[in-house]
Amino acid sequence: MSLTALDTGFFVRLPVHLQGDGRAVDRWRALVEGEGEGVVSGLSLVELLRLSLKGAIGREDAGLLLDAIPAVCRVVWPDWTVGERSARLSHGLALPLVDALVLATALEAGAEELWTTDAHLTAYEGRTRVVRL
Amino acid sequence: MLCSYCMRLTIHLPDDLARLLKQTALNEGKSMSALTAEALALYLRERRRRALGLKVLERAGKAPVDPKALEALEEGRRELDRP
Repeated sequence: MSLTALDTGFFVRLPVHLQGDGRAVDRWRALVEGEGEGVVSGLSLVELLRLSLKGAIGREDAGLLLDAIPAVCRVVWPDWTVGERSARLSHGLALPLVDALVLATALEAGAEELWTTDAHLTAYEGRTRVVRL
Repeated sequence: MLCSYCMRLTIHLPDDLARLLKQTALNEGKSMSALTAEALALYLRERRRRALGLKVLERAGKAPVDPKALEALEEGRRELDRP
């Protein structure tokens, strides 16, 4: 079963993309239908909550995402293995720390793809394919 | 399954389902209570997963999201890296 890592920006794009490329919606629908597994860094939940507190995402919709993400996907909180790997990625690719933590989570989980809106993460080229939304 | 925090619940099952439950429990060396709890937990978790996942899809295109939300996300990430 394929494993897809989802970065925070994926969930920011998800509620607004009924039309357009709609890739986030299609990917989410596939996960809900049981086609593959999703993995999300716990830091994304923190970022979504923060965006909601800032008023960038409606409170109710953020609440729904914070309930739905752990129900649909595996949420992984950083441990030392992820921390150490992210420090090396951050240093080696000049990535901001949160970007590196998200990437390290995807790599440690063995994700085939990482879906993100973050341009910095495209600096990574390796066994996990970075899909930029 | 005997535990101090378990609720005792009486349920009625169709005969064929009850027979299947009994046979499966026997084959797996589990009590019928344990197997029922396991199956119910799996079923309810899957229902919740699907219901919440679909609810997110229903909100697609309707949820109020600030057009600058992605910028705010980016800014939040950069904040942590400022010297």
